[in-house]
Amino acid sequence: MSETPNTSMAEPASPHLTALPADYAALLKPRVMSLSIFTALVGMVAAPGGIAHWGLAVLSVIAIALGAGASAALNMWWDADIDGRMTRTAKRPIPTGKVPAAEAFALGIVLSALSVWLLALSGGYLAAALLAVTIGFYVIVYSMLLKRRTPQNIVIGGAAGALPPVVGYAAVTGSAPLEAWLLFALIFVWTPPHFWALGLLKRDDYEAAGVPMMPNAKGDPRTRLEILIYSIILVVGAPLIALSNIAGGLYLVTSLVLGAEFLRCAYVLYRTPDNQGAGRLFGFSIFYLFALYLVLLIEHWTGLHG
Amino acid sequence: MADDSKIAPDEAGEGIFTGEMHTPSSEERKARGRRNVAIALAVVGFVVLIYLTTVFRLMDNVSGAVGS
Repeated sequence: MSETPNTSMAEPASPHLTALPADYAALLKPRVMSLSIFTALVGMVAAPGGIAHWGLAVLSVIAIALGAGASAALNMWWDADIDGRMTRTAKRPIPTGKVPAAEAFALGIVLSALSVWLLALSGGYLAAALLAVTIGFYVIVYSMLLKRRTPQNIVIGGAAGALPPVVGYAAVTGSAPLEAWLLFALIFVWTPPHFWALGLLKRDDYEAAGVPMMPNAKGDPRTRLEILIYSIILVVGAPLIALSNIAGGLYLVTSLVLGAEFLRCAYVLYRTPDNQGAGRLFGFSIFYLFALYLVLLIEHWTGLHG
Repeated sequence: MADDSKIAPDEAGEGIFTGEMHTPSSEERKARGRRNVAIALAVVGFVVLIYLTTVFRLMDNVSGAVGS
């Protein structure tokens, strides 16, 4: 029996049929990817002996970037339903129908495997294992287990975003000693005030999506208090890294000066019931972390560290 | 034969056979072509990355052996 295909020309095209490579690239969250590249590079440069072989280091950075992109694609696959309900994320490729969820999943899995494989060859097995842990932690622990269950989601989940400098350090030394974990700790403690400031700004979004971020789960006053507490821990802890041999005087001065401003922003936010300072703190927190890592990079390139 | 009408339209994008055929428009063909080129470049790019890693590792090992 022969079947005549039911062809349709007049029907409006499904969005995914006109999807372009850029739509798939958007699944990798290029801006987050660039942050991972930067922090991983600092981890490499800050390691004792620095980068001995630039070719392998560049390949390792590419592998780490691919791993970050893979975890972003898997996160978008898992969170497609809530992304569609939030104005901040509604234009992502899966909610708009540009990329089918199954394809995002496939892209994430394939990229995860290839990135870990590439890093195993270029940076060694420890770095590759740490990258695999980073991807798994972000997707399984943060996205699947924590994000929709607890307002502590980004506190614990922040570990995934803090791991790239450790991966970078391990890629050039084959080890991950205390110094590497100081770089981890800096991002880990920075994450709560940064994301809770965003949570205060996008509280309605998270409420609509049913994500228990601190502001909609515990209220704005409690969030502002927790932001202040984490900011104090960050601002007091960050300069202490200068006691190790990965940071020097320039880092110490920068962390003290920028830390004072960070704390001022957090305190202003704490004292304003209408959350007016949240935007300022969110923006400054990005600058703060970028500046401290940049100073570490400069110190190691110019030999000023330790 | 399966009753195709029971399959939700959005499942067509998930690789589930609906029995329907679609003739792509010129815009869709162009987009598909660009996706194919991107996939080809990505595959070739990854092969180059592995090749370079192998070369750099060999260089490292050779220089290490000469130095020792």
